[in-house]
Amino acid sequence: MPDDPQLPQPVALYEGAACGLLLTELDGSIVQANQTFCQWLGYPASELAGKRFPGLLSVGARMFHQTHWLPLMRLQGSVSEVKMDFRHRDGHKVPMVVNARMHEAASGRSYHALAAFMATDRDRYERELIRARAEAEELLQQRTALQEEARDRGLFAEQMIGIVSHDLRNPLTAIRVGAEMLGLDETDPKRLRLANRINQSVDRALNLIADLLDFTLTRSGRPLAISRRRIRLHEVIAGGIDELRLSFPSLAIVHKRRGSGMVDGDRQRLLQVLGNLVANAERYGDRTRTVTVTSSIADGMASLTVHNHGPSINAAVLPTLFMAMTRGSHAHDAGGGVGLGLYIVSEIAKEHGGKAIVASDPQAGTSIGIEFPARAPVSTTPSRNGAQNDRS
Amino acid sequence: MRTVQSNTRETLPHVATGKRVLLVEDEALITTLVVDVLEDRGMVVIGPAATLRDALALAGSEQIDAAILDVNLGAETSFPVARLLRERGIPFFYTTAFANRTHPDIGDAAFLPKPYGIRQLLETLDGILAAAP
Repeated sequence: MPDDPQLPQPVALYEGAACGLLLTELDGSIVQANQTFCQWLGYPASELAGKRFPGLLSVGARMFHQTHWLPLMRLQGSVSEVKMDFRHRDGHKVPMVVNARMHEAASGRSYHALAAFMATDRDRYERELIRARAEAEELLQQRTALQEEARDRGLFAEQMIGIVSHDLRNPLTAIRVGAEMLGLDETDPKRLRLANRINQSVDRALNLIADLLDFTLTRSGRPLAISRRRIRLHEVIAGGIDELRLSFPSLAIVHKRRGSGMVDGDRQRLLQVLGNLVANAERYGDRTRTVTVTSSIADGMASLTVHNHGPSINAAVLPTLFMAMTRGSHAHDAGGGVGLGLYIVSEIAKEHGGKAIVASDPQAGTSIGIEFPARAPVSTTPSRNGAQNDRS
Repeated sequence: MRTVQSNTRETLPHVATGKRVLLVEDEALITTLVVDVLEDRGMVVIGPAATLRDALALAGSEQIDAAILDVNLGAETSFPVARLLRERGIPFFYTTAFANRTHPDIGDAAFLPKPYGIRQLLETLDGILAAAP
């Protein structure tokens, strides 16, 4: 230790220490306090001497002093890092962290020696933490409430769609039967065409209802009801095309078959894909030119594509074509539909373990379809019966 | 998909004339038309009943060859009518607008989903009459 006469004297070090220093009797009466401590609490030294230490504490700290501090001092002769609120002479709180130990004087008398450190920043920090936690909890509650609200709304919308779809089928039945009654024994081709057109509109409305129900189902996170059975893909598609020719009498539809064999697929769902794609081709393609449906079985993959001539789909739209509520913008957008058809097509492809595919350019025309493994994985759960779609 | 092009009185299924058919349907629009279709084919319509109470009264008392039951009648269903008809050995089929037809009371009963056309209606009716003893 350098013997530098310039070094401060121990008394000065004591008085101006970087912490509050305090000596009390065992009963807490203050014997002496250094300047730092006096300054922190706003007392002149003379006024502190003789005061009892607990008298400087807040109510809570005083109780803690009584119930924990004193017993600990008796038991182990020290306490450390106890945080307590002191009262400044003018009344405001001064948080401090205190260490204390028994101190035996040369005279044999025992004292409590205390060192106190300001903890205002730490206190503020702790309070901030507590407040932040309370805020976070409140935000969490708000979020949970919002989520519940959103879920309720979603559920409500879903139920509404279910109810409306159901209710729509009744007037549609009346329209269909009525149109057929009008067409019964009718020989005037104009009137027959009219009756036919009414019935085609019923078909279109039904397809929309089916798509809407499927859309609601997948949007609420549930899979479409699909049951893959071993089917003759080419024959199923040929049958579907026959029906579509009745629905689109003026549209030339040809069927190309590639490869042969059986395919694991949901007959109704594949017909739904076919119907959506042909309706799409009719709506957006060149109606004066042939629409080509290709069913293919090759290298373990099955596919179903519908090709039409006419304006191509904007390249910028292609990546989102199969998302709900997007519609390929064509040179002329004929409108109609709400963009659910292709989304459902892609969902059906996914449920078959495959994907939707599209190719479009002004020369070759537009080809949209699905491809999927011809064989379902053996481990798949048995067909989900029951919720079968009743489009017929 | 359907078309009306081929529907003439000759090509539609021929249901034996004079058959007494109970019609249970709470949708007035449909009732009117179906009554016309059936009577046009020479059948006698019992009812139509739009409520479960009326339907039960008719099903229990009238002489009936076959019945067409709409599943949903307001807040009620026509299942009790079906039970009564089964006891009497009268053939029937359900119609409904609901997509899900897995209700246990429906079981393997004949079924015609809405919306149906005249041909489907007559074919189904013909089918249950032909299967009846």
